[in-house]
Amino acid sequence: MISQIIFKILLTLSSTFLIATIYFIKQEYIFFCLNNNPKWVSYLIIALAPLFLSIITLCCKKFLSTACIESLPLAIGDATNSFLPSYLGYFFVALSINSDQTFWWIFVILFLFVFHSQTIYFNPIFLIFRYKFYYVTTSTNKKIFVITKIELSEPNDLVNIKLKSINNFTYIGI
Amino acid sequence: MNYVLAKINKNIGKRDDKHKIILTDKELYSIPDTLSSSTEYSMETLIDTYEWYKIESFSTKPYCLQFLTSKKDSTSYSKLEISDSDCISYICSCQNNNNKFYFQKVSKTNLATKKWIHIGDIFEFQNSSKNITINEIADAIYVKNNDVLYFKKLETITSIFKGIEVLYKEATEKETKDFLEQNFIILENNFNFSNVKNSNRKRIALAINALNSFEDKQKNVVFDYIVDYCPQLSTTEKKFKIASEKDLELLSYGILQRFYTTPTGNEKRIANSVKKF
Repeated sequence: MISQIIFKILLTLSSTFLIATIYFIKQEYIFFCLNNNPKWVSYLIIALAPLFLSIITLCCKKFLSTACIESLPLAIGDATNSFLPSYLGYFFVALSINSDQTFWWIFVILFLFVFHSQTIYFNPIFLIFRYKFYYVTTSTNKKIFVITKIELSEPNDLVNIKLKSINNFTYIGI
Repeated sequence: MNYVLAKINKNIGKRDDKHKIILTDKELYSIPDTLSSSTEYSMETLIDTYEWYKIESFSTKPYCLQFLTSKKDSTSYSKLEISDSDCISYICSCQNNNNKFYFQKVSKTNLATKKWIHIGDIFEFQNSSKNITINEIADAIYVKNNDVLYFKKLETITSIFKGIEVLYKEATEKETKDFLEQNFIILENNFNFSNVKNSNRKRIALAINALNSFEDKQKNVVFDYIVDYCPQLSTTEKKFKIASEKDLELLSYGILQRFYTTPTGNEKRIANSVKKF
C-alpha cells in the first residue's frame, strides 16, 4: 500500500510541477546560490525539475503489477487532445497568481484534487518521451486509459502487449 | 499472460461477477501427468488417489462459471483490496493464455492470522501473518480447449461450482427411490425421494448394503431393535412411517445398528462412526 501511495505522489508531483515552474519563471525567482549567474541558468534548472521527476516516475513503474490485453478490444481512441486543453488551463492559473502565499495554497489544492483523480496520469512530459495516450474499450466494454509508446492504428495492435497497471482503469506500457 | 483471480463473498458492487485479481504474471500450478487417466464422474466409480474424475462439455452445464466461457482477460477485472482478503472463498489461476484454469478452495482457517516463524534470510517471528497456502494439486482444473473439467473430490468443489451436487443426487436417485419403495416403509406427509438430501443419501447407500447382507431372521431382529429405540416410527403392521428427513435418518441409523445404551445410566446414544475390532 505504501509503495502505491508513494508512486501516486510521484506521479501527481511530476504532472503538476510544471505549474510551479511556470510560476517561478514568471516571478523571476532565481536560486540563491546562483546569484552571480545570469537568470536563465536558474530558469533552466527549474524547468528541468519536472523532467527529472517524470524520469524517476517512469523508472518506478517496474514496481507495478503486470497486465495484458488478450482479447481484441472493441475500440481505441486518442486521448491526448482531450487532456491537453485542461492542462493548459493550469498554466493560465499559474500565470495569473501574484503572491507566493496564494501560489502555495493553490498548488496544494490542485495537488490534492489531482492526487485523488485519474488525471494524475496525464503528464504532458510523457509526450516528450514519445508516449501516447489512448482510450481503449476492451472486449468486456470497459473503457480503460492506456499510455504507451506504440503507435496504435487499430485495436489489434494492443493485443498481447505487456502493460503495467497503475490502477483498475489505467495501464502504462513497459 | 497468467493471472490469479479470487472469488469474494462480500456484496461488493452490484454485479454478480465478484471475481477480482490478486496476482499477475505468476504460474501457480502445473498440469498433472495423470490427467489423461480420467473417468467420467459417477458415484459408483471410485478412483485411486492419483486419478481424476472429468465432466465433458462443461460449458453446456448450468453449473459452469460464466467467466470461463467469456473472453475476459486481466484488464477486465479490478484488483482486490487487501482489506477484503478475508472474503476470499476460492482462487482461480488462469494460465496458458486463458486456456487452463486451476481452482483451489480457500477455507476460513486458511485465511486466519497465524503465528509462525518465517524462515527467510533470518528466522523471523511473525505474530499475525496471513497467507493462502497453495496446494500441490489444484481442486479442479478446467481445460478450455477440450471443454473438460477435471476434479478429484466432488464435495470440495460444490462451493465453487454452485449446483454441481446435482450430479451426486442424480447418481443416487434410483437407489434412494428403490429404498423408499421397500415394503417395510410407509411414506407420509408427501415425503418422497426428491426430498432426500445428500447426507441421508449417503446413509441410505450404507443401509442398503447392510440390509442386503441380512437374512430374513436378522432383518426381524434389526426391525425390533429399531422399534425399541424409535417407537414413534413404528406402525401396527410392523412397518415404519417416514414423514421427514429426520425419520429417514433414524431409520438408516437403526438399520446400521448404530443405537446403543450405556451400561451405567441407561443413556440412549447414536454412534456417529464405528470401527470394527
